[in-house]
Amino acid sequence: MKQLASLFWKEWHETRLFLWIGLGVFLGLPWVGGLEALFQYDHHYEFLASPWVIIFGGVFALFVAVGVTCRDLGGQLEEFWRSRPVGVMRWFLVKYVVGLAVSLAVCVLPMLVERWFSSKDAVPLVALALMPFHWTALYSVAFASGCLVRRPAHAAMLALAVLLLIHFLPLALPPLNGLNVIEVFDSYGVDRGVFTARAITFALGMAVIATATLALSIAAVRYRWRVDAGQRLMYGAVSAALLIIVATAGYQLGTNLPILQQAAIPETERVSRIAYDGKQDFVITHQWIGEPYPYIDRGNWKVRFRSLALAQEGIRLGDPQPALDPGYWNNWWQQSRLTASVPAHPRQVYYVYDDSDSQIEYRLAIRTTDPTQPFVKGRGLKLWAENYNSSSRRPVIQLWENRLYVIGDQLAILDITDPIAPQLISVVPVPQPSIVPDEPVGFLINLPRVPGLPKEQRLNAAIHAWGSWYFPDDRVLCQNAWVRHGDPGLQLIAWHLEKLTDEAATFEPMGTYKQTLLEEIFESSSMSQMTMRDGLLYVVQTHGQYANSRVTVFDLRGIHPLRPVAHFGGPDIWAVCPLPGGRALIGGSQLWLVGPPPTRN
Amino acid sequence: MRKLLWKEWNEQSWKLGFGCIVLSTLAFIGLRARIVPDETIEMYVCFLGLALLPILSSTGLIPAEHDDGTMESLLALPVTPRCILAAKTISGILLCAGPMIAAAAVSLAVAANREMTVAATIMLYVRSTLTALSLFIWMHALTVRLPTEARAALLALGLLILWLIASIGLVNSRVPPIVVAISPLSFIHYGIDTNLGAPSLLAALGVQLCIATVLWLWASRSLIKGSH
Repeated sequence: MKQLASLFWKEWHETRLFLWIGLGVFLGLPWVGGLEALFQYDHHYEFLASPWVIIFGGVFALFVAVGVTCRDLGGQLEEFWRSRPVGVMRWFLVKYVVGLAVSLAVCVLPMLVERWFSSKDAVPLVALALMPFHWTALYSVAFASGCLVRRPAHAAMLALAVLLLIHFLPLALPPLNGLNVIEVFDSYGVDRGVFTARAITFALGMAVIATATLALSIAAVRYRWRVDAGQRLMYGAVSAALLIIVATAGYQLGTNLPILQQAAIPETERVSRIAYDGKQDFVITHQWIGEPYPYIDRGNWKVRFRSLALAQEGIRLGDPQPALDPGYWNNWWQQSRLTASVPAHPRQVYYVYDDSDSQIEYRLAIRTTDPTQPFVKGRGLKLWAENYNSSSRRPVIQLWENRLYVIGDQLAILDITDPIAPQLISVVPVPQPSIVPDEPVGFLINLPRVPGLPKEQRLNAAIHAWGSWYFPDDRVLCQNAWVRHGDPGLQLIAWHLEKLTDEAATFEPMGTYKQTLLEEIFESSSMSQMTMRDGLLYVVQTHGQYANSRVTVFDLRGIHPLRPVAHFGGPDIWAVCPLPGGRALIGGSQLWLVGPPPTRN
Repeated sequence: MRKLLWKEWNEQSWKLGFGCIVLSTLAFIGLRARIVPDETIEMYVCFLGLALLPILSSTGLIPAEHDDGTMESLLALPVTPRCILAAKTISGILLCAGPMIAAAAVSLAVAANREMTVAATIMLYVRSTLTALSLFIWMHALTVRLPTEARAALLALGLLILWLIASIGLVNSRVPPIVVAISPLSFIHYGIDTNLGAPSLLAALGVQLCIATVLWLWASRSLIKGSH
């Protein structure tokens, strides 16, 4: 006992300097910061130690571990200790325990002080409970590094490389997400209890790292293992760690859709919508500022239309079309549910617009997408008028044989035997399609009663009737799957169409997808478009400040629905248009024709 | 001289390879993944290069010889100290410029004319390489008599921080461009804002060449003094 006490005294005597320095830094800096805030900013004293400790606590533990190991193992002192009548394990473990205690005291005490004097939310109890596991793991890694390398600078660099991996690899590699230290603070936020599955996974993972590296340290000292560290090892270790992290992030989020063709668009324009009319002939709208072209002024946006053709030699972009009308733009934006074309006249588009004044007056207009032909003039055909009501639905157009159905709060049926002169047959009130929601376990949609219209199209109309006003594509229905965009962030929920009758459609849950932390960092949660074709779901996410906008492709066909299979990143991506055969047109600051996603078995 | 260069190549070539691999791989992964815009990733690579390469190369030349105790032997050889310094300077220039050229080549191979034009990409790397070389000359000259690599690294890091802070102060429309050109970072001022009195590339190059000559002569004199 006396021998152990002597060993403790010796270690404490040598290590206590770290304690004073650490406490000086982690208590002193927040104290100075609080004073600065008191006199200079909000005249309110607040002690904030957690930002310092979270960022530099691990580095401090690393320095302590390297310091305590290299001091006694670096030169002749090791031989001296081996010549003493003291077991190697005894003095070695005392060294480990004292160093760890100093590291934890320096990191935990300032957070306790902050919790005591400032807001408890700043340092949640769960973080206070879990962070010591993290620091212990980092301390043990650096301890092992010191035992193996035995040169302070080199051991510190090697430990720093491992620290980088422990910090950032769980962020980049989804199977390691449970060890992500950032989530300890970010996801928990407030005290939600320490004994959650995630918290236990994190603590266990860190304990495993600590135990394994301690075992390595013991083996290194017992069997005199030594790594001959030079500059190459130092530089190589840190760079390798950095490259591993970057490569892992690149693999997870990197672009893997092959570019088959690409076309430049004028520098001031951005593609905001791409439409496919079935004959490899597209019309694109652009957001654009400046230049004296014909445009529609929509606040900060000015919109132009161009024709587009895919040819062997490349993408051909037409000139801006000469005349536009605001109603068409409004509907083009929501083209998937508000426009329709007769198959025999694909360039001729029907659309509904609201001629709003004191009340909403819905009108049907016809526009041609052929740049050589003039637009149909006039205000279009009046369908019905209704008072503005926040619960009123935007009408949806459905086309069947020689009938055009406009389904909103009213149902308008038109005869389009003569496609350029539609005749209004009837306008009758239609009950709103109702949904019997129990979304997590499935739901049932009562279809609108529209005489003559097939049930598939009535289902389509019913689903689009719930589309949000600003992002009409926040839900898509295709091949018996319905995918909805959820909040917060990119969260997708998919249902499978289990049963479709004349009266109702029954959906069963298929799967969910929530973006990973790395995706949250590099991808904005702002979704601009979601579209589906041939079992592939394309989700466009507009960019944050530093990252590119991107398209993520999900495969709904396999046994793992909503599995992301491809990414495509590029500047200002806003629109995607899937084509047959897995190809897609993606628009942003350029137009890209991309190939099918890589096959993963 | 050739033997001196061979010696330097023998000792420093791994650093050249290391720099080339790290910068090129970062540029390759970043540009292939397209997680961030091409310009952003190329600027990251350039910043990493111009911050780290001068420190890595300057501390590993003369201070490393002092650290290993081989400087006396080197100075005892029948060559002038100026020749030794020249060989080490050439070696350092290669260590700074080589990885940047490799990263530029990778960037052009992966993303030429994709989001940045070839000319813009080349200009970005040229300016960053010139900045790295200017910083290297400063660090090389000021660390010539330091006894250890660690001290040299600290001084080089301090010098980098000092010039970063000074350059922020110089980014001001009231400062004449010729004064801005004193900073080794003046080559990349142009990229910050052309309206803030940034010197032209030629002006910055002229001023930096003069400063580099003076620094180099001063360093060679220090080395000669040290050898006595």
